[in-house]
Amino acid sequence: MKRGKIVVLCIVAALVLGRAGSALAVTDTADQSVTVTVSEIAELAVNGGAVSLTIAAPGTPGSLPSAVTDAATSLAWTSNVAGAFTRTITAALDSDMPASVTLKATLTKAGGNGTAAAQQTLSSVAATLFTGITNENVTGNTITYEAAVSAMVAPQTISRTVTWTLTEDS
Amino acid sequence: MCRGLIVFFTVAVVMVGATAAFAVTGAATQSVTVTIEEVALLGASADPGTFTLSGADTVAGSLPVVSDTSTSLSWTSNAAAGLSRKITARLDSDMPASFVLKATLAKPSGSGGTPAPQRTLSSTAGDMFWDITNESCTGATITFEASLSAMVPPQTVNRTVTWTLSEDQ
Repeated sequence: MKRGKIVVLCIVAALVLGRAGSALAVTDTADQSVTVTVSEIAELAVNGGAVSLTIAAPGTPGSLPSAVTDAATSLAWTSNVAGAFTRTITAALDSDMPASVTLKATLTKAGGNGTAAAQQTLSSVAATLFTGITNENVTGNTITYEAAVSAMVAPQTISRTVTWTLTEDS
Repeated sequence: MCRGLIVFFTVAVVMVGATAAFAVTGAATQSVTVTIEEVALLGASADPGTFTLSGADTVAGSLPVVSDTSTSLSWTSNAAAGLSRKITARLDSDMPASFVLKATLAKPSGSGGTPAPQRTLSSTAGDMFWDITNESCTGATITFEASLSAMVPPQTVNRTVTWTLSEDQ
């Protein structure tokens, strides 16, 4: 009787162990550690290429030629900042415009968190065109250039390079 | 009397002959059982390098995306007739808002299975590879893709990806 019980117990144990082994064998796992780091990003680009503004003769003798504008180009940017910092976009010329000739610009907000500044006269000193940029990626922020003369000047062609800069506010 | 002796000798000769006949051939039988247990082994080659989303990977106005194909999975598996296994992937916790981590698993040489399309990883297991039956494969390239759906402040996020080889339900 005792021997019979032992045999039964052995069989039960074998079955349980066999099943446990089988259950463990049918599934396996492998772990990988993945780290994603977002660096500080400040990417700015002009879309649209060179701009040409032609100041033509005025319609009325005695008046100055009208200002001309161009809104064919735009800025795109991708930016992120730590904490409460913000970024600004400025524009500067490689050298000042000649006397009596002005070049102004505005930047239209197409999205994001920032604020467009009012029209600014461009010079070799950086002017702020957009403020309050935080974590955003936006395209199609239209640049509107306006060229004008404040007094008549001789016929001429003036070329300047406008440098747009996305930088952290001080 | 004589007849009795003849019968006795005849029986004796027959018995000796019979014994001799049994002695010249030996036979023995053994029962041999080979058991192939169910096997489900899965391993990852290494951890992928850190995914750094930076300006170098970003076009102004767009969002950064980086990928990594430096790691792979290997597996050894068998399944009873009519059954198959699959590989799933899940994260220990969901990625933060605006973070996207996707993965695909390439079909390695020698596999009869089917890779799933690219999947976004989360804390819920997603199927990455199906129809694994009896095969041992190495070098199933894992392609991770980390990206943002919106810009976020500079930060670092760590997650553990658990790959699981299990039987299809």
